[in-house]
Amino acid sequence: MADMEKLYEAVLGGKLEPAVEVTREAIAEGADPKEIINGSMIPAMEEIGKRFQEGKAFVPQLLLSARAMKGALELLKPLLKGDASASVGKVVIGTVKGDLHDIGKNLVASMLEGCGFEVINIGIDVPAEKFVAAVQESGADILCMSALLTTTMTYMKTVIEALEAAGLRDKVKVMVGGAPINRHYAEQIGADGYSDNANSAVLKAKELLGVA
Amino acid sequence: MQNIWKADWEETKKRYLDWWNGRGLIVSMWEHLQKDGAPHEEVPQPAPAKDLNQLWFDPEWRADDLHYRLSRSSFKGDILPVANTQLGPGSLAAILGAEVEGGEDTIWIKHREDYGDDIVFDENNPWWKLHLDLLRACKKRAGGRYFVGCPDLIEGLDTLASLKGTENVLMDMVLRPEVLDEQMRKINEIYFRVFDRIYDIVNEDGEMAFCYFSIWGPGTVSKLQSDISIMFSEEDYRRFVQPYIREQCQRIDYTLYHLDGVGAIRHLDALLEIDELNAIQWTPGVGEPQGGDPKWYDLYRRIKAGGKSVMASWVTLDELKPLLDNVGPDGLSLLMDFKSERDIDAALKIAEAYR
Repeated sequence: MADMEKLYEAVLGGKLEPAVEVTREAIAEGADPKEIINGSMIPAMEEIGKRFQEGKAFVPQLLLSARAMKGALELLKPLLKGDASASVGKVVIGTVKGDLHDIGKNLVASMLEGCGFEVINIGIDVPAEKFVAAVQESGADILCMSALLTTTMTYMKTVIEALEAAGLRDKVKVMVGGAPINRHYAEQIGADGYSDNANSAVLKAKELLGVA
Repeated sequence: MQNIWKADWEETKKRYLDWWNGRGLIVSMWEHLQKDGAPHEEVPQPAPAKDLNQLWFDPEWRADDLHYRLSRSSFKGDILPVANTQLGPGSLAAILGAEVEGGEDTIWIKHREDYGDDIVFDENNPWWKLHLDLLRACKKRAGGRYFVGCPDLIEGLDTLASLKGTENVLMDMVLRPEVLDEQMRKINEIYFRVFDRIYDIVNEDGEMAFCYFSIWGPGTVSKLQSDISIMFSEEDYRRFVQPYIREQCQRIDYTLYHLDGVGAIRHLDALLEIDELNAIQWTPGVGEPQGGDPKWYDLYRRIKAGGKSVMASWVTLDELKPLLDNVGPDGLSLLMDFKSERDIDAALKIAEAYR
């Protein structure tokens, strides 16, 4: 019988091959995919996120856990098709126009995905119309925007205004983050949430969707 | 440098030399501001750049523009007469094959998805040629009136991240440490080749200036950094950063380490272990108060107690006296937030009492 504790340890330890191997075994034995995700994988990602927040783990460890999680998730995705309850929520994420930084944004995307969100990562240097189109097409619950420069952070407001103009603002929650961003700025531009690291981004996203 | 556009240059030189050795006080600024009164010399103003390409990548235009602007810049206090030849943050990565794009405010250097494991220095790389052309053009204009600064090459893991992508580098630290070791060794080897060639062009009787943080020394001078280290542990810093920074400090006569962000402070002990490192510059990062704030006094004391000189940045006039009272003037370089020559005079008046 597949050792689900081993799956938890593999994701927590960032070990791709064991994570995939145990997941494959569990699927072959007819385990419930949602149980595999919720029972082992998400708790492992939550634990690595907690360790990151406490300064006991660092970005390389987060990236490797997310990689192990994604590897296992690839096997489970076909089995979850059409099951909306398998996802905590849908997120569109990108770095705003004029800004080419991607590591923080990708880290948040990985953690969100690892913790059960469906993530549509639309990249860097993203103009307002592309954010709006992605939200519209995907029916996202949350739009996450990142900026690492004081010169580009102001564009977040432009995107929020574009969402309003497209009649989408009340259909999607907006979260912002990045080095120059703080809670006050997030409130000032009319965002719904702000986080200063990948782990708290997950907690905030869950809070906004009422699944915390 | 008989023609240098700074009458008190010999005094400033002495203060820099003292500072590198943990003594004395420097009052300077990074960028230049316009001087009052007549220019150092009448220099024709070049036509505005036609486009971003000319603004960043036309060596003749940039040399003319720098020459014109320096002819009108203030070098009061310890402000260095130095041409800022920046070719992007971390131009060594561009030389080694990263993608380059001139933006409105900066040059972006982007990693390539297809960058392999081999780090190769191609003498025919167009960005390397641009470095040489720009430095030579500037040197020709300068004619001993100012220094031509070494561009911000950057080294180590930061360069590797600009080549391969940050995430790939961070994961290699765990998955392929031996590959990373080899790449770091190679980058240092290339760094020294590039740096030595640049030194040959920009040095003035053996002296040189480095653009970033405007530093000068009577020998080879460089600013070193590892901004990426904010993302990993002290253990990994000692494994993947410290040995290579140490090698640079051993090879280069005067070295300043740029410590960037609150999250990087945890690596300070490892930095202080490098005997040959002369000084540490502190950049608090976005969302934090600037370098003159009392919040950083303890950090500065710690650096000085560790035997290194300190560079505090964007210090305001009202922060100057309390900073000097609390941290002490010896081994302290201040990059001030000056707006006018009147500000410089006011700062020098305060500093005089501590010299």
